[in-house]
Amino acid sequence: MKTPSLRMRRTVSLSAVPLAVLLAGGLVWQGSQAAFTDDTSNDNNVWSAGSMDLIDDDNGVAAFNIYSIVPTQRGQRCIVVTSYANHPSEVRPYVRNLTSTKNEPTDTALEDHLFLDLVQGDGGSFGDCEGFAADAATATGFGAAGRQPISVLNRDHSSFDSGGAVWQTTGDIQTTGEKRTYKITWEFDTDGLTQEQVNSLQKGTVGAELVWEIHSSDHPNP
Amino acid sequence: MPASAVEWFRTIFGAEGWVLLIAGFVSRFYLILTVSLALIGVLPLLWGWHGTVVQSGSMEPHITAGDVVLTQSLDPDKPVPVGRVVQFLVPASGPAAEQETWLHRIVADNLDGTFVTAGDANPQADSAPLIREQITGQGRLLVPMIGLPGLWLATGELALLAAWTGLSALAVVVVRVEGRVVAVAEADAGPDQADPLPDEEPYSPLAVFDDDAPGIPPSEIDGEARMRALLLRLAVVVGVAAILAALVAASASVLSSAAFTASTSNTGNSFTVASEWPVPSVTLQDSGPAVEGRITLSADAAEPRSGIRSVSIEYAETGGTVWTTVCTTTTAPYSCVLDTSGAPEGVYRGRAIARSNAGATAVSEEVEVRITR
Repeated sequence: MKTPSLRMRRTVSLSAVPLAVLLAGGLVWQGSQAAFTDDTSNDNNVWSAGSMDLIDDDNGVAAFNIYSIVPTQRGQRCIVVTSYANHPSEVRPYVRNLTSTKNEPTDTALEDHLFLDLVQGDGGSFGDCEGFAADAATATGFGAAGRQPISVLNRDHSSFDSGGAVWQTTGDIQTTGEKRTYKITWEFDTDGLTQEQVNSLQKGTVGAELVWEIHSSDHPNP
Repeated sequence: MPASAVEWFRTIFGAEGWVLLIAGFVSRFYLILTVSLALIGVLPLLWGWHGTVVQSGSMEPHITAGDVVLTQSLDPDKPVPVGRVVQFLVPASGPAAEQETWLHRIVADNLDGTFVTAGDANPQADSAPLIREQITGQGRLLVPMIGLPGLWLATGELALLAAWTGLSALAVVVVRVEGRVVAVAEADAGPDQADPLPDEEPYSPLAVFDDDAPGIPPSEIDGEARMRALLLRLAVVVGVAAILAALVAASASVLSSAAFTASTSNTGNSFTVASEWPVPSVTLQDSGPAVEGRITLSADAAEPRSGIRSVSIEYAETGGTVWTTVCTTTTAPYSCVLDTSGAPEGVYRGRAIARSNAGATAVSEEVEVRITR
């Protein structure tokens, strides 16, 4: 075998230039074409290496269908939320789709007196809070910390941006997911109402959707 | 070692061997590819496009973290491009957070004039609707991977950044060494044999890295000129490195998030208030056959749902209708002290009234209280 000739060396050197420029152009053209000129590529069957999903263990059952509640009554329920995200992410709970029915026109709204709070922790399940251990280091509440009327939550904390207690996921455990249990407490508190106002709340119903949303938190780390 | 083996070794690994030739080609190819992509990523900024480095992969498979996306501001006369990828501002989430820039696709328009956006790789659409004013540009050019060094710098992945810088520097060195071999070979071969067109310089966009001006034997360049040429080359190398570093640093500050989102919700929750409040149970304990002096009257009351707010204990003369409250108490055990010394002897009636927290009241059965002296 001979060493490459001078002519060959030159040819090879020179050919690198147009080839590289052509490839650069091709990559940009092809990528732009695929990403920006195709209207219908929102194809969710394409699950890429980067992915995210959030599930809970409610099996489609509402956490609360409480009938015949009376003032000062309270209750609780746990729900386990699992994140399958391969990215450091942030999960926030919030409340939306408030519904309220009343028997007669009244200036006292049930949703102002039904309070929700939430605590993060581990253990327990949707059916039973047995084994739940609160994580004192984490934030509480669906909106601001602590309990808030469902009306305030629905008005001021009904999206991820204004959501409540943040759960920071690491994105490291993709196969089993990262789990967090939320203990939700409700309380029917009529403090400050006259007896007449309290009585006017009878037979009223209030409903709401409890949402957990996850966003990848890819702020550059300082 | 036999001579043929030495010869074979030189053919492969020697200064004029195949390995250096291929390494030189790969290095040159890589450097020019990188520079071309960088130019494509930077030049459109001159006519007002915006460049942004994608931080995450929610727009995969088309757009990956580290890609540079060039966007063009929306023409105010044109409708919002439904189906296309846009860059838009997302309000700060939380008091400490900064406003974010997202790059997602508009997947639908709502009746109220807002739009629905979604990442191609996200299972659900974004929760917040998009208004036109949030859009900062429509995606036009995708330059793959060129933003990776900036992304590494921004995310603190300095090991990757250092590895990339080292490999790129190695590529520069390889190109330089290989260029020098060609130059020496040309000088050795002489102008007639080596190059049919001796006036034409062999083209190399990286000639600045080549040690010797092609075609001129090194001996013909005097020391001073050599030094000048060396300094010039050094200045060019430092300048190029500075520009590259500035590009990397700049790209680290124009990050755009193709954020991953997903959500789960618990629906159908309801709380219905009772149609009437449960009535407490209440009894006044029998005070015994006869009492005198200071006596304690005790009542039992319960309302397991809302609890007892208060219990009042009252008495009235037999046959009378005026009830006198002994006391009202809010904590169990519910008892009141009655001083009977001022009351005439006789038989009185006692009762307890319980009020629940919900507001329902109940009155106990009457109990005889016989006062004696």
